[in-house]
Amino acid sequence: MAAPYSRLLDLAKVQCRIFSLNFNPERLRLGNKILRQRLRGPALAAWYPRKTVSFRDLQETCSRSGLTTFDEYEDDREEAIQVAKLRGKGRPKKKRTAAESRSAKKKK
Amino acid sequence: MSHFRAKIQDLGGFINPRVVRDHTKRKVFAQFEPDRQALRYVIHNTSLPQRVRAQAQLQLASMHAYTRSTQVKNRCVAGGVPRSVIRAFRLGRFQFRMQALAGELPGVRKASW
Amino acid sequence: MVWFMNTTQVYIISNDMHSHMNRKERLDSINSKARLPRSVQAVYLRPLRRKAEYGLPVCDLQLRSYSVRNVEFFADFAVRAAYYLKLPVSGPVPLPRIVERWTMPRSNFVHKKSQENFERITLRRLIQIKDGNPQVVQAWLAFLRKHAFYGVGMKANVWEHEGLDVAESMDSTLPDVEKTLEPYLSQFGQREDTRSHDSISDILDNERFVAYRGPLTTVRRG
Repeated sequence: MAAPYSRLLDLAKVQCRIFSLNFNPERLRLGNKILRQRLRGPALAAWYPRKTVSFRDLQETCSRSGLTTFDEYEDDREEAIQVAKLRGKGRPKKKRTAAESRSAKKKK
Repeated sequence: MSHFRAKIQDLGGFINPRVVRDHTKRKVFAQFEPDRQALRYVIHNTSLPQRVRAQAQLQLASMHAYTRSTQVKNRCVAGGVPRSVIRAFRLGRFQFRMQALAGELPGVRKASW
Repeated sequence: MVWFMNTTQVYIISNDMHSHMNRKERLDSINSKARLPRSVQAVYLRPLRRKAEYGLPVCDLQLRSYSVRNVEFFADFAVRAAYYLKLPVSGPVPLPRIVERWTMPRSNFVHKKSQENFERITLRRLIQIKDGNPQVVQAWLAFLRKHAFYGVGMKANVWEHEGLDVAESMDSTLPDVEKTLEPYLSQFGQREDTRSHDSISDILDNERFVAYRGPLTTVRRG
Protein backbone atom coordinates (compact mmCIF):
# COMPACT_ATOMS: atom_id res chain seq x y z
CA MET A 1 0.00 0.00 0.00
CA ALA A 2 2.86 2.34 0.82
CA ALA A 3 3.81 4.51 -2.16
CA PRO A 4 7.51 4.90 -3.04
CA TYR A 5 9.20 8.05 -1.81
CA SER A 6 9.93 9.33 -5.29
CA ARG A 7 6.24 9.17 -6.16
CA LEU A 8 5.38 11.19 -3.07
CA LEU A 9 8.03 13.74 -4.00
CA ASP A 10 6.50 14.09 -7.45
CA LEU A 11 3.11 14.60 -5.88
CA ALA A 12 4.50 17.29 -3.58
CA LYS A 13 6.17 18.95 -6.54
CA VAL A 14 2.94 19.09 -8.52
CA GLN A 15 1.12 20.35 -5.45
CA CYS A 16 3.62 23.16 -5.00
CA ARG A 17 3.39 24.09 -8.68
CA ILE A 18 -0.41 24.25 -8.60
CA PHE A 19 -0.68 26.29 -5.42
CA SER A 20 2.45 28.32 -6.22
CA LEU A 21 4.40 27.23 -3.15
CA ASN A 22 8.11 26.75 -2.75
CA PHE A 23 9.14 23.13 -3.35
CA ASN A 24 11.70 22.46 -0.63
CA PRO A 25 11.93 18.75 0.26
CA GLU A 26 15.28 19.09 2.11
CA ARG A 27 13.72 21.72 4.41
CA LEU A 28 16.46 24.22 3.78
CA ARG A 29 16.08 27.60 5.42
CA LEU A 30 15.41 29.80 2.43
CA GLY A 31 14.16 32.82 4.33
CA ASN A 32 10.73 32.48 2.84
CA LYS A 33 9.12 33.35 6.13
CA ILE A 34 10.39 36.90 5.70
CA LEU A 35 8.80 37.15 2.27
CA ARG A 36 5.52 35.96 3.76
CA GLN A 37 5.50 38.64 6.45
CA ARG A 38 3.32 41.66 5.93
CA LEU A 39 4.71 45.16 5.96
CA ARG A 40 3.95 46.84 9.28
CA GLY A 41 5.04 50.31 8.20
CA PRO A 42 1.72 51.71 6.96
CA ALA A 43 -0.08 50.59 10.12
CA LEU A 44 2.60 52.06 12.39
CA ALA A 45 2.80 55.33 10.48
CA ALA A 46 -0.96 55.83 10.85
CA TRP A 47 -0.81 56.14 14.65
CA TYR A 48 -1.06 59.92 14.97
CA PRO A 49 -3.99 61.85 13.45
CA ARG A 50 -3.07 63.86 10.37
CA LYS A 51 -3.94 67.41 9.51
CA THR A 52 -7.43 67.96 8.19
CA VAL A 53 -9.20 70.94 6.72
CA SER A 54 -9.17 73.89 9.11
CA PHE A 55 -11.24 77.03 9.42
CA ARG A 56 -8.42 78.97 7.86
CA ASP A 57 -8.57 76.79 4.74
CA LEU A 58 -12.26 77.54 4.48
CA GLN A 59 -11.53 81.24 4.80
CA GLU A 60 -8.94 81.02 2.05
CA THR A 61 -11.27 79.29 -0.37
CA CYS A 62 -14.00 81.79 0.48
CA SER A 63 -11.76 84.80 -0.07
CA ARG A 64 -10.61 83.38 -3.40
CA SER A 65 -14.17 83.44 -4.65
CA GLY A 66 -14.71 86.97 -3.33
CA LEU A 67 -16.65 86.10 -0.17
CA THR A 68 -15.85 87.68 3.17
CA THR A 69 -15.63 85.57 6.35
CA PHE A 70 -15.65 86.47 10.00
CA ASP A 71 -13.45 84.73 12.57
CA GLU A 72 -14.52 85.86 16.01
CA TYR A 73 -11.61 84.30 17.87
CA GLU A 74 -9.05 85.85 15.55
CA ASP A 75 -10.67 89.28 15.90
CA ASP A 76 -10.74 88.94 19.69
CA ARG A 77 -7.09 87.98 19.70
CA GLU A 78 -6.04 90.93 17.56
CA GLU A 79 -8.07 93.31 19.71
CA ALA A 80 -6.44 91.96 22.88
CA ILE A 81 -3.00 92.49 21.32
CA GLN A 82 -3.89 96.07 20.45
CA VAL A 83 -5.08 96.71 24.01
CA ALA A 84 -1.90 95.16 25.44
CA LYS A 85 0.25 97.33 23.16
CA LEU A 86 -1.56 100.47 24.28
CA ARG A 87 -0.89 99.52 27.89
CA GLY A 88 2.75 98.96 27.08
CA LYS A 89 2.46 95.22 27.72
CA GLY A 90 3.07 94.13 24.13
CA ARG A 91 5.60 91.66 22.79
CA PRO A 92 9.22 92.92 23.13
CA LYS A 93 11.06 93.68 19.92
CA LYS A 94 12.92 90.80 18.36
CA LYS A 95 16.66 90.94 18.99
CA ARG A 96 18.35 90.47 15.62
CA THR A 97 22.00 90.36 16.68
CA ALA A 98 23.92 88.89 19.59
CA ALA A 99 25.09 92.35 20.67
CA GLU A 100 21.55 93.61 21.00
CA SER A 101 20.45 90.73 23.19
CA ARG A 102 23.52 91.14 25.42
CA SER A 103 22.88 94.84 25.96
CA ALA A 104 19.24 94.07 26.81
CA LYS A 105 20.38 91.68 29.51
CA LYS A 106 22.93 94.08 30.97
CA LYS A 107 20.40 96.86 31.42
CA LYS A 108 18.69 94.77 34.05
CA MET B 1 17.52 62.81 13.52
CA SER B 2 16.93 66.22 12.10
CA HIS B 3 17.63 65.32 8.50
CA PHE B 4 14.70 62.90 8.57
CA ARG B 5 12.27 65.41 10.05
CA ALA B 6 9.84 66.92 7.59
CA LYS B 7 10.08 70.67 7.12
CA ILE B 8 6.30 71.00 7.29
CA GLN B 9 4.62 68.75 9.82
CA ASP B 10 1.47 66.92 8.81
CA LEU B 11 0.33 66.17 12.36
CA GLY B 12 -3.19 67.19 13.24
CA GLY B 13 -3.70 66.52 16.95
CA PHE B 14 -1.57 67.24 19.99
CA ILE B 15 1.99 68.17 19.02
CA ASN B 16 5.16 68.40 21.07
CA PRO B 17 8.77 67.68 20.14
CA ARG B 18 8.60 64.07 21.33
CA VAL B 19 5.47 63.40 19.31
CA VAL B 20 7.12 64.92 16.23
CA ARG B 21 10.18 62.74 16.78
CA ASP B 22 8.14 59.58 17.18
CA HIS B 23 6.04 60.43 14.13
CA THR B 24 9.23 60.96 12.13
CA LYS B 25 10.56 57.59 13.26
CA ARG B 26 7.36 55.89 12.21
CA LYS B 27 7.46 57.41 8.76
CA VAL B 28 11.14 56.61 8.31
CA PHE B 29 10.52 53.03 9.35
CA ALA B 30 7.64 52.73 6.88
CA GLN B 31 9.84 54.13 4.13
CA PHE B 32 12.79 51.80 4.74
CA GLU B 33 10.91 48.66 5.71
CA PRO B 34 11.15 47.00 2.26
CA ASP B 35 14.94 47.48 2.28
CA ARG B 36 15.25 46.02 5.74
CA GLN B 37 13.10 43.05 4.81
CA ALA B 38 15.16 42.46 1.67
CA LEU B 39 18.36 42.40 3.73
CA ARG B 40 16.74 40.13 6.31
CA TYR B 41 15.72 37.77 3.54
CA VAL B 42 19.29 37.59 2.28
CA ILE B 43 20.55 36.95 5.82
CA HIS B 44 18.03 34.21 6.50
CA ASN B 45 18.52 32.43 3.19
CA THR B 46 21.07 29.67 3.89
CA SER B 47 21.39 28.77 0.21
CA LEU B 48 23.21 32.05 -0.55
CA PRO B 49 27.02 32.28 -0.19
CA GLN B 50 28.23 33.07 3.30
CA ARG B 51 30.05 36.17 2.12
CA VAL B 52 26.91 37.77 0.72
CA ARG B 53 24.99 37.01 3.88
CA ALA B 54 27.67 38.54 6.07
CA GLN B 55 27.68 41.62 3.86
CA ALA B 56 23.93 41.92 4.22
CA GLN B 57 24.26 41.58 7.98
CA LEU B 58 26.73 44.42 8.09
CA GLN B 59 24.54 46.61 5.97
CA LEU B 60 21.48 45.92 8.08
CA ALA B 61 23.44 46.80 11.19
CA SER B 62 24.77 49.99 9.64
CA MET B 63 21.35 51.31 8.70
CA HIS B 64 20.16 54.35 10.62
CA ALA B 65 18.55 53.78 14.01
CA TYR B 66 15.37 55.55 12.85
CA THR B 67 14.74 52.79 10.30
CA ARG B 68 14.28 50.29 13.15
CA SER B 69 10.81 49.42 14.39
CA THR B 70 12.04 49.14 17.98
CA GLN B 71 12.52 52.90 18.03
CA VAL B 72 8.79 53.45 17.73
CA LYS B 73 6.89 54.13 20.95
CA ASN B 74 3.14 54.35 21.28
CA ARG B 75 2.29 57.77 22.62
CA CYS B 76 -0.99 59.31 23.72
CA VAL B 77 -2.61 61.03 20.77
CA ALA B 78 -4.19 63.68 22.97
CA GLY B 79 -1.35 64.41 25.38
CA GLY B 80 1.88 62.84 24.12
CA VAL B 81 2.30 60.74 27.27
CA PRO B 82 4.42 57.63 26.58
CA ARG B 83 3.32 55.45 29.50
CA SER B 84 0.16 53.51 30.13
CA VAL B 85 -1.28 54.16 26.69
CA ILE B 86 -4.38 52.14 25.84
CA ARG B 87 -3.90 50.77 22.37
CA ALA B 88 -7.59 50.54 21.52
CA PHE B 89 -8.05 54.29 21.96
CA ARG B 90 -4.44 55.49 21.56
CA LEU B 91 -4.90 57.50 24.73
CA GLY B 92 -2.94 57.78 27.93
CA ARG B 93 -4.67 56.70 31.10
CA PHE B 94 -5.73 60.13 32.29
CA GLN B 95 -6.89 61.31 28.88
CA PHE B 96 -8.81 58.06 28.55
CA ARG B 97 -10.51 58.65 31.89
CA MET B 98 -11.44 62.24 31.06
CA GLN B 99 -12.83 61.34 27.65
CA ALA B 100 -14.67 58.28 28.96
CA LEU B 101 -16.34 60.34 31.68
CA ALA B 102 -17.25 62.98 29.12
CA GLY B 103 -18.89 60.27 27.00
CA GLU B 104 -16.60 60.79 24.02
CA LEU B 105 -15.60 57.14 23.73
CA PRO B 106 -18.48 55.09 22.29
CA GLY B 107 -19.65 52.28 24.53
CA VAL B 108 -17.25 53.02 27.38
CA ARG B 109 -18.86 53.66 30.74
CA LYS B 110 -18.11 53.29 34.39
CA ALA B 111 -18.14 49.68 35.48
CA SER B 112 -19.18 48.16 38.75
CA TRP B 113 -19.63 44.50 39.40
CA MET C 1 -51.11 46.35 18.32
CA VAL C 2 -52.76 47.63 15.18
CA TRP C 3 -56.20 47.44 16.65
CA PHE C 4 -55.12 49.20 19.76
CA MET C 5 -53.87 52.12 17.71
CA ASN C 6 -57.05 52.28 15.70
CA THR C 7 -59.22 52.40 18.81
CA THR C 8 -57.21 55.27 20.24
CA GLN C 9 -57.75 57.16 17.04
CA VAL C 10 -61.45 56.67 17.28
CA TYR C 11 -61.42 57.76 20.87
CA ILE C 12 -59.66 61.02 20.09
CA ILE C 13 -61.98 61.80 17.26
CA SER C 14 -65.07 61.11 19.33
CA ASN C 15 -64.01 63.90 21.68
CA ASP C 16 -64.74 66.60 19.16
CA MET C 17 -67.71 64.78 17.74
CA HIS C 18 -69.93 67.82 17.43
CA SER C 19 -67.76 69.86 15.12
CA HIS C 20 -66.56 67.05 12.78
CA MET C 21 -69.56 64.85 12.38
CA ASN C 22 -68.96 64.16 8.73
CA ARG C 23 -65.31 63.45 9.17
CA LYS C 24 -65.90 61.03 12.03
CA GLU C 25 -68.38 59.10 10.00
CA ARG C 26 -65.98 58.91 7.15
CA LEU C 27 -63.19 57.67 9.33
CA ASP C 28 -65.43 55.15 11.02
CA SER C 29 -66.39 53.73 7.70
CA ILE C 30 -62.77 53.43 6.74
CA ASN C 31 -61.99 51.67 9.97
CA SER C 32 -64.75 49.19 9.58
CA LYS C 33 -64.23 48.44 5.91
CA ALA C 34 -60.54 49.02 5.20
CA ARG C 35 -57.52 47.66 6.93
CA LEU C 36 -53.86 48.47 6.94
CA PRO C 37 -51.81 46.73 4.27
CA ARG C 38 -50.63 43.30 5.34
CA SER C 39 -46.97 44.32 5.11
CA VAL C 40 -47.63 47.17 7.54
CA GLN C 41 -49.55 44.91 9.89
CA ALA C 42 -46.67 42.45 9.80
CA VAL C 43 -44.37 45.09 11.30
CA TYR C 44 -46.24 44.68 14.59
CA LEU C 45 -45.89 40.91 14.57
CA ARG C 46 -42.93 38.59 14.80
CA PRO C 47 -40.87 38.55 11.57
CA LEU C 48 -41.93 36.00 8.97
CA ARG C 49 -39.45 33.43 7.79
CA ARG C 50 -38.88 31.25 4.76
CA LYS C 51 -38.31 27.59 5.25
CA ALA C 52 -34.86 26.35 4.22
CA GLU C 53 -35.03 23.46 1.78
CA TYR C 54 -31.50 22.10 2.16
CA GLY C 55 -30.15 24.06 5.14
CA LEU C 56 -26.84 24.82 3.46
CA PRO C 57 -25.26 27.89 5.07
CA VAL C 58 -24.43 30.58 2.52
CA CYS C 59 -23.79 33.72 4.50
CA ASP C 60 -23.02 34.59 8.12
CA LEU C 61 -23.80 38.14 9.12
CA GLN C 62 -22.52 39.32 12.45
CA LEU C 63 -23.92 42.51 13.96
CA ARG C 64 -22.06 44.29 16.73
CA SER C 65 -23.08 47.19 18.86
CA TYR C 66 -22.67 48.66 22.31
CA SER C 67 -26.41 49.08 22.80
CA VAL C 68 -29.05 46.36 22.95
CA ARG C 69 -31.77 48.47 21.34
CA ASN C 70 -29.79 49.18 18.20
CA VAL C 71 -28.57 45.68 17.59
CA GLU C 72 -31.96 44.10 18.33
CA PHE C 73 -33.74 46.51 16.05
CA PHE C 74 -31.32 46.06 13.20
CA ALA C 75 -31.29 42.26 13.52
CA ASP C 76 -35.09 42.32 13.25
CA PHE C 77 -34.83 44.60 10.22
CA ALA C 78 -32.33 42.26 8.56
CA VAL C 79 -34.54 39.22 9.12
CA ARG C 80 -37.56 40.99 7.63
CA ALA C 81 -35.53 42.15 4.64
CA ALA C 82 -34.38 38.58 4.07
CA TYR C 83 -37.99 37.37 4.10
CA TYR C 84 -39.00 39.75 1.33
CA LEU C 85 -35.97 38.68 -0.71
CA LYS C 86 -37.08 35.04 -0.22
CA LEU C 87 -33.96 34.11 1.72
CA PRO C 88 -34.31 31.48 4.46
CA VAL C 89 -32.81 32.81 7.67
CA SER C 90 -31.80 31.33 10.99
CA GLY C 91 -31.23 33.62 13.90
CA PRO C 92 -30.64 36.20 15.22
CA VAL C 93 -28.46 34.13 17.53
CA PRO C 94 -27.13 36.10 20.51
CA LEU C 95 -23.38 35.44 20.61
CA PRO C 96 -21.33 35.85 23.80
CA ARG C 97 -20.80 39.44 24.79
CA ILE C 98 -17.28 40.86 24.56
CA VAL C 99 -16.48 42.60 27.83
CA GLU C 100 -13.40 44.80 27.97
CA ARG C 101 -12.48 46.39 31.28
CA TRP C 102 -9.90 48.98 32.19
CA THR C 103 -8.85 50.19 35.61
CA MET C 104 -7.35 53.65 35.83
CA PRO C 105 -6.03 55.69 38.76
CA ARG C 106 -8.45 58.54 39.32
CA SER C 107 -5.72 61.14 39.49
CA ASN C 108 -3.28 62.13 36.80
CA PHE C 109 -0.34 61.64 39.15
CA VAL C 110 0.43 59.03 41.86
CA HIS C 111 -2.42 58.12 44.31
CA LYS C 112 -2.61 54.52 43.08
CA LYS C 113 -4.97 53.59 45.90
CA SER C 114 -7.91 55.42 44.40
CA GLN C 115 -8.84 53.85 41.09
CA GLU C 116 -11.78 53.72 38.75
CA ASN C 117 -13.13 50.97 36.51
CA PHE C 118 -14.37 51.39 32.97
CA GLU C 119 -15.90 48.82 30.71
CA ARG C 120 -17.09 48.44 27.16
CA ILE C 121 -19.52 45.64 26.38
CA THR C 122 -19.94 44.65 22.76
CA LEU C 123 -23.17 42.82 21.97
CA ARG C 124 -23.26 40.49 19.01
CA ARG C 125 -25.99 38.89 16.94
CA LEU C 126 -25.46 36.26 14.27
CA ILE C 127 -27.81 35.95 11.32
CA GLN C 128 -27.27 33.02 9.00
CA ILE C 129 -28.67 32.76 5.50
CA LYS C 130 -29.38 29.24 4.29
CA ASP C 131 -29.26 28.07 0.66
CA GLY C 132 -29.84 31.41 -1.06
CA ASN C 133 -28.77 32.51 -4.48
CA PRO C 134 -25.37 34.29 -4.19
CA GLN C 135 -26.61 37.32 -6.12
CA VAL C 136 -29.66 37.65 -3.90
CA VAL C 137 -27.44 37.41 -0.84
CA GLN C 138 -25.29 40.20 -2.26
CA ALA C 139 -28.41 42.26 -2.87
CA TRP C 140 -29.50 41.65 0.73
CA LEU C 141 -26.11 42.72 2.07
CA ALA C 142 -26.12 45.81 -0.15
CA PHE C 143 -29.60 46.69 1.09
CA LEU C 144 -28.45 46.36 4.71
CA ARG C 145 -25.43 48.53 4.00
CA LYS C 146 -27.58 51.14 2.36
CA HIS C 147 -29.89 51.27 5.38
CA ALA C 148 -27.13 50.80 7.95
CA PHE C 149 -28.29 51.75 11.43
CA TYR C 150 -26.28 54.08 13.67
CA GLY C 151 -24.04 52.39 16.19
CA VAL C 152 -24.29 48.95 14.58
CA GLY C 153 -21.31 47.34 12.87
CA MET C 154 -21.69 44.55 10.33
CA LYS C 155 -19.39 41.77 9.22
CA ALA C 156 -20.39 39.15 6.68
CA ASN C 157 -18.80 35.86 5.72
CA VAL C 158 -20.11 34.66 2.38
CA TRP C 159 -19.62 31.14 1.04
CA GLU C 160 -20.22 30.20 -2.54
CA HIS C 161 -20.77 26.67 -3.73
CA GLU C 162 -19.91 25.32 -7.14
CA GLY C 163 -20.92 22.25 -9.07
CA LEU C 164 -18.53 19.39 -9.72
CA ASP C 165 -17.79 20.69 -13.22
CA VAL C 166 -16.18 23.78 -11.74
CA ALA C 167 -13.07 23.47 -13.93
CA GLU C 168 -15.12 23.54 -17.12
CA SER C 169 -17.13 26.58 -16.07
CA MET C 170 -13.96 28.39 -15.03
CA ASP C 171 -12.38 27.60 -18.40
CA SER C 172 -15.39 28.92 -20.22
CA THR C 173 -15.43 32.20 -18.28
CA LEU C 174 -11.68 32.71 -18.49
CA PRO C 175 -11.61 34.88 -21.67
CA ASP C 176 -14.11 37.32 -20.18
CA VAL C 177 -12.20 37.51 -16.91
CA GLU C 178 -8.95 38.13 -18.73
CA LYS C 179 -10.54 40.88 -20.73
CA THR C 180 -11.77 42.65 -17.57
CA LEU C 181 -8.41 42.23 -15.83
CA GLU C 182 -6.38 43.46 -18.81
CA PRO C 183 -6.23 47.16 -17.84
CA TYR C 184 -5.11 46.28 -14.29
CA LEU C 185 -2.51 43.68 -15.22
CA SER C 186 -0.97 45.95 -17.82
CA GLN C 187 0.04 48.28 -14.98
CA PHE C 188 2.24 45.62 -13.38
CA GLY C 189 5.79 44.96 -14.44
CA GLN C 190 9.43 45.31 -13.54
CA ARG C 191 10.92 48.75 -13.48
CA GLU C 192 13.30 49.49 -16.32
CA ASP C 193 16.07 50.77 -14.08
CA THR C 194 16.13 47.72 -11.82
CA ARG C 195 16.43 45.23 -14.64
CA SER C 196 20.19 45.64 -15.13
CA HIS C 197 21.20 44.09 -11.80
CA ASP C 198 21.24 40.35 -11.94
CA SER C 199 23.23 39.15 -8.91
CA ILE C 200 22.54 39.83 -5.27
CA SER C 201 26.08 41.04 -4.56
CA ASP C 202 25.61 43.66 -7.29
CA ILE C 203 22.40 44.80 -5.67
CA LEU C 204 24.04 44.96 -2.25
CA ASP C 205 26.90 47.05 -3.62
CA ASN C 206 24.40 49.31 -5.25
CA GLU C 207 24.23 52.88 -3.99
CA ARG C 208 20.63 52.33 -2.95
CA PHE C 209 21.85 50.37 0.04
CA VAL C 210 25.24 51.91 0.62
CA ALA C 211 25.13 55.65 0.06
CA TYR C 212 23.71 58.18 2.44
CA ARG C 213 20.24 59.22 1.57
CA GLY C 214 18.66 62.62 1.84
CA PRO C 215 15.93 63.54 4.29
CA LEU C 216 12.25 62.73 3.89
CA THR C 217 11.10 65.22 1.38
CA THR C 218 7.77 63.88 0.27
CA VAL C 219 5.38 65.03 2.99
CA ARG C 220 1.82 65.95 2.40
CA ARG C 221 1.40 69.68 2.74
CA GLY C 222 -1.12 70.59 5.37
